[in-house]
Amino acid sequence: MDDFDAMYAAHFASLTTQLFAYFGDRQEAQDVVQEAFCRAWMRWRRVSTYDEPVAWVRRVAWNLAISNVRRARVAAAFRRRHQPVHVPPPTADRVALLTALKALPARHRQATVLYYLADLPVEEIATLMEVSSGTVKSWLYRARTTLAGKLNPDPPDRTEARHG
Amino acid sequence: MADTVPDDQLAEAFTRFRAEAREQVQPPGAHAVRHEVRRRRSVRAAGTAAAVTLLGAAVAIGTTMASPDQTPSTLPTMSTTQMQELAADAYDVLTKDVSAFGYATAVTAQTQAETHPIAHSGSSPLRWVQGQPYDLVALCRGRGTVTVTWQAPGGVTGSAPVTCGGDVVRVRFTPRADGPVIEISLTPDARAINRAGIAVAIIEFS
Repeated sequence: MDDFDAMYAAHFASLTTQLFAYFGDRQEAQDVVQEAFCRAWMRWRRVSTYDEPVAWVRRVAWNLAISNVRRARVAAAFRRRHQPVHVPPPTADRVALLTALKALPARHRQATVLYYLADLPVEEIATLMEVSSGTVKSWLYRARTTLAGKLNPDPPDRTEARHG
Repeated sequence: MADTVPDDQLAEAFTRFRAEAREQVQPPGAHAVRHEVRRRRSVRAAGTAAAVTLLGAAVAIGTTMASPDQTPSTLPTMSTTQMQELAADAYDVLTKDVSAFGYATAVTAQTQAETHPIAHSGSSPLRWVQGQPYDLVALCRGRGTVTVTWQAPGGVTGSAPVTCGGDVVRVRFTPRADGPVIEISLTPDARAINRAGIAVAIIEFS
């Protein structure tokens, strides 16, 4: 197995999971990540010399993901050539998390996914998103606040009191 | 209701999501990446070849229009048999004492609409081999110019003008993939149509 294969095997699922959380469609996430790896392979002679080639792939994948037009074009191109794959229905937890994430502004959602799913430190997220660390921290705080209303149902006693 | 989700609770929700989502991810594979990139390069190479061919045709038309005293209609034409004889003669010159695969043809109005696959029909492995250099040679007898365009396995492509009545044109290329055929297409200018015979061959080094 060469370096490219090793990087693909090690990171494809992880990157796809991040983009899946970001825009809520697994197949589209998979297509976008596959496209990012295609672009890496086309420039592999150069990309392979980087300290961390996967960081380049991650950046390309996210750039594709946050552009609706480019994402739609990539997904449509792959859909024309591949059969859809059927997977089991999502669990309630997954639906709840995806729904909650969708309530976040796009930049807050991206920072949250990079923090909790890509396990990137705040400084690295700031570099990737081209903002300051303080901005990322602020986005994460506000994201947690928003998510609180979506993932934490009201305690039963307070709900009853409201209806009583 | 809490103002924020406790960090460990949120982290746990993402951990559950990650575990579930990863099970459903079905990577197409690194081989699919390579296949897709090969396909794109091949499409791009074909597009470039087509653009070169169109440019060649445009230049030929422009040249013809700029030289009214040499309009093709004023030049004598040949019979198909005469042109085939010229082509056969050219082919003999090209393939004398070498291991070569190719073809010879009369240059007619249909020539530019045809693509000729040259198969490696020699000894095993019966395919053009990645990384091995080959010479494309072409010789045209008669009048005018014929642009030879080739596409080798792995998206290697190129083109060269061959002056009819001129010397052998020789171009070296190296396939980037194994493959059974090299596609050749010919674009004659107006003066060459019905006035020339051409031979094209791929020479294999022993």
